[in-house]
Amino acid sequence: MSDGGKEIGKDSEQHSTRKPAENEDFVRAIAKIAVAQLCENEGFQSFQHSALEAFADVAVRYMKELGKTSNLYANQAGRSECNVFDVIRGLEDMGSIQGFPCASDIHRSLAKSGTVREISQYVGLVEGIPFVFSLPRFPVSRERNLSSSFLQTGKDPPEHIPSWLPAFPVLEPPEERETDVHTASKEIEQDVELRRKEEVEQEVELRRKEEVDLMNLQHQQQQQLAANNGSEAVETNPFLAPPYAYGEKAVSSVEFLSSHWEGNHVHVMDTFAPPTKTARNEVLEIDETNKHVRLDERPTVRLKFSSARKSLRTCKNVVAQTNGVEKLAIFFEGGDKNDEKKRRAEQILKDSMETPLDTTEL
Amino acid sequence: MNQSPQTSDGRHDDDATLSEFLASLMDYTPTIPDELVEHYLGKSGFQCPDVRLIRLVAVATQKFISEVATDALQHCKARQSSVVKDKRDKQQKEKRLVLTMEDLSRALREYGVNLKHQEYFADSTSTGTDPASKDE
Repeated sequence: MSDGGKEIGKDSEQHSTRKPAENEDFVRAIAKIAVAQLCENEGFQSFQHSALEAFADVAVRYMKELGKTSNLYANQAGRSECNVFDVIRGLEDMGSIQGFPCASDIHRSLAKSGTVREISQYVGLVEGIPFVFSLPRFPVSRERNLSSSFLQTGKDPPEHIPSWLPAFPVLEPPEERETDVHTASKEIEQDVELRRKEEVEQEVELRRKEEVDLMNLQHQQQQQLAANNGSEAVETNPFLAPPYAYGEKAVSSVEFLSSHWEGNHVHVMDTFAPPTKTARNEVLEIDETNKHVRLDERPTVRLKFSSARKSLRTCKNVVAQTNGVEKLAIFFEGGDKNDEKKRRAEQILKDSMETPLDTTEL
Repeated sequence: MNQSPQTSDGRHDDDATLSEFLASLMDYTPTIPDELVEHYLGKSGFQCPDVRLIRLVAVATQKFISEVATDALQHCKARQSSVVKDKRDKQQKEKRLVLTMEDLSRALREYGVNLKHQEYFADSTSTGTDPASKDE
């Protein structure tokens, strides 16, 4: 066990830990099972995984080497298929390390080779134990659909193409495709079209990154452009059509009523209003806006960017903008039935007049 | 020059025994499945439609593996008996016949396969603990 470095580079160096190729897993597993079965027959009760891996590897290499040597002998005899004598020669080569009966006899007949006699003895002694599993034939090879050549289809190939080469694949219906030049030109056309589509797509990409004001300006032109090209693409291939530009197709979106947006806007100054009165103002304001918005116009999502601190003044402004001024006027000037509310509204109005003072105080 | 005095009848006899043997292989089911042998022979460039040759290769491989396994088993038994002699108290544990890398590499060495593993390759508890049993 002291020859760690000596064996490097030998052919028989094992790579039992190396993972074989993907499609070899199954075959390798079967080889391992077969080897394990044979070891069990011999009397082993268990095995180390590494030993079994290595042993299966050795067995596989034995088979491969035997096949290679037999094939070599067949090829040397000028044949492509092996016969039994090639295999026997191969077996003798494999057994030459150990030696086999009659090996010294150069002029022996291969038919009565010592290795074959040994194997026949082995077959006589050991009864055949079949493999534990029934195996499918592998590798599973699908029937290949070879495309017919020019010769088989009966077409005349172009001058530079031999007739035994496979014919060109049919892209269009055959009556449309008369000459190869025609298809070539078609392909070029398709290429150009593809490139144009790509350019359009790039434009669309770029457009998304542009700023909002620029977007509004350029939007309509490019929409038209995309629409034109899109319709062309749809004619040829629907999957190559450029994606819809923003706003091209009607989609349900969150709509803001501009009045609400502006109405809920809070001035910086107003945020300093005293909280006690603004809380009440807020309630009033909500009531007011609810009255004005009709149900069918109401947006699906309403975002209220209102702060707790708000003076009535802004509320008044809002209502003025959204032509709800009459209602508010009514609300303030006696349209309300409740006296107490009216009184409170007046007080609030008074307070709101004092707010500039408050802010300066603050 | 031994072949020259041989009569044509003798050759015929040899051919007859060989073909008889090959025919008997068809009744024999080797443990190594035909598909496996066919796969690996195909990978090595071996082309033959004859199933008997596939069987012949399968049987030859099986014989090779059996011989190596037998040798490994003998190595295993010998090692165990030596261990038992030294430490009689541990003999019960070592009774199991396990195919170890150690025995396998020793058995394969006689068949021209140099299979070594590192000494620190501790895939068994006894690896590296008993250097006396490892020395040749």
